[in-house]
Amino acid sequence: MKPPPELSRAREVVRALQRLGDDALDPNLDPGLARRCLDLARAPLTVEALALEASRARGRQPLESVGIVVAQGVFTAPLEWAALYATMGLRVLLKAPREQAETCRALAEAMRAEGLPVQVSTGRDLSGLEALVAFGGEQTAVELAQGWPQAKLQSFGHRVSAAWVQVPEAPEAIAALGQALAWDHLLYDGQGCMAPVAVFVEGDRLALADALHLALSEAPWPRAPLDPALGPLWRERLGLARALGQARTGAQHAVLLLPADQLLALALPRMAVLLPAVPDALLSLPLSTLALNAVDAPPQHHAPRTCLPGQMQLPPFPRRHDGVDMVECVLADPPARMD
Amino acid sequence: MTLDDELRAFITTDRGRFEDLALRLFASQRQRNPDYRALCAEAPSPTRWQEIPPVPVGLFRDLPLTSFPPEHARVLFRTSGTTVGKRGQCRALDTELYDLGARRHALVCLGGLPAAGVALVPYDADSSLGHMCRDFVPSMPTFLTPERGLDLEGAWQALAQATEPLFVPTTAFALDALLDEGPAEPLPLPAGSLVMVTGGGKGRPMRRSEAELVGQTEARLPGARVVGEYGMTELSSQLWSERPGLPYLPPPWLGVQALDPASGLPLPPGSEGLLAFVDLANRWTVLAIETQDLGVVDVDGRVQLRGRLPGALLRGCSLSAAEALDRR
Repeated sequence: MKPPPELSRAREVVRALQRLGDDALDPNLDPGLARRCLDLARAPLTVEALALEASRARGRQPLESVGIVVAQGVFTAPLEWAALYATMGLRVLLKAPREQAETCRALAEAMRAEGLPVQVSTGRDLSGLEALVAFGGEQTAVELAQGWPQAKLQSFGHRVSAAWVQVPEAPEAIAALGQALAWDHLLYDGQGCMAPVAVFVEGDRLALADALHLALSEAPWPRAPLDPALGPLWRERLGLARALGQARTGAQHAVLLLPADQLLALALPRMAVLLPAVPDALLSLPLSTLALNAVDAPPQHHAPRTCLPGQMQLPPFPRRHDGVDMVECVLADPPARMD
Repeated sequence: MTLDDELRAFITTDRGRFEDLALRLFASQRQRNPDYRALCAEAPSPTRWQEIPPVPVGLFRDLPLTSFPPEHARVLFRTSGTTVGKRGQCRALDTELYDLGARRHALVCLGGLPAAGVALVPYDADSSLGHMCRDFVPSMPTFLTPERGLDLEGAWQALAQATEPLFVPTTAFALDALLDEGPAEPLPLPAGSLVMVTGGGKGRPMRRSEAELVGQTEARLPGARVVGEYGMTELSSQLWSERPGLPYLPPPWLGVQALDPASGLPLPPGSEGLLAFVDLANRWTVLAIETQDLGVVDVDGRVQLRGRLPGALLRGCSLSAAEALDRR
């Protein structure tokens, strides 16, 4: 019996992903950290998972080509969608950010080496593509809709992530929670929409701050040099914590305890912000991911994805991105009605 | 003689030593200003004025930062809030040092101020710029009001009716708009007139570059000298330039240095960095301020302005730091 085409393509895709080497890494991150991020990003992209997800398009009308408009930031972000669409048999164009094209170039090269039709471009020409999957700001979405009205467009705007945790009583459990949250802050040095902008804390914030501070102090990889444009904001937030709350600082990280009204929907590299858990605090946030531990009463939120602390930057595959079915984005026919 | 007396004497007569006064004012403010004390808690005691811990200007949005009980404030200046949503607030018990310093340095730099004027700056009670301009020329009307916005026709009429030298304080944005209107022919202003240009476009698009703004102003208003002023709500002192685009001269009571934007540490003279000031006229808040403006401090102490620190792109979500702050 002939294997389904998705399966053979998935094998090629996974081989391509395994080809990715140091030239695919974000040069702005510490190489050790970047390698770890790459390994973690491709781990869930198995032959079986890709083939199974791609097979959902069977009996439907997939489009023939898709452009993935990649935002600057988390360098592994294009991996899973390029892998999925290549497995589905689409011709893929990676529209790479001009300032951070390394990963897209390496990915396209690796895919082509396996015979998969994946191209890369930093130009603005997206003509001839039937679908566009765009990551970036609202302005990007508007420009794409105006510039390429014939393409089926799925855009993803700005989202942030947060954690809501109840501090356990046992010291070793607090330490473990600190370790998990440190992991969420460390990966990608806090870039991207899955990095926590705040940790809402039920219980002993000071104990959690100490545990998180210790865990961040023991980070195995140094933080990338701070973007000069973030320096003033880093000092401002630190100053605010010193004046209104408390701050634990290390050479490359900070753990801030701030009042609830000092929520800023912005993640700074290795700066953890612990806020008191107040009702409705999450409702104003455009959440992508919410990490929750064993809280007595889960808070109200609109996050399309929840996970455990320590898993925020490790999305599973397959998954919906910000609640959107990524297979449906590249199908020509509308989904069947369920009623 | 109290520290206040010494500060007043230094600002009015240069009597005293800047560094000595700066270190003593810092010690006084650290004692009286609980916010500043908290901010400086982990900083070593300064032995030079350059080591006085500067406060990021953004903190004026969230903290009173007064060296007196804030509820006693009799003066409130607020930032324009055009580049970020939440407005910074600077409180004071009085404007004595502010006014003395502003007048003195303007006289030194400009050689005198006209007695009449046409203003294109806001006179809102909480505008420090408006306060300074009204103090310079009390009878001067403004053509930028909350009710009418920018009254360009009225401003051109007032300029056309000038019979004596005029002081024309304007933001760069308002001047840009002014030059879009008015008579096609040049309108000579009485000799001795001064056009004071301050600020940038505050995030709004401007049609003209700084050089075009100056060149076209000189062409449209012959007889007027175009000078540059740099000031900010969080500072009580101003810097003046003989012409926008040329280096700006700080007064003797204002120390200026450039900081590494990432670390906040001082850079060698001549390096481009974030401008930080130690302002002895900032009696009522904090004397040391870290701005978000880039510049170079020349060896002669003059300051070249290089614009605002570009907003960081938060990689992965394409939102700049400035935009995010805007959403607060």
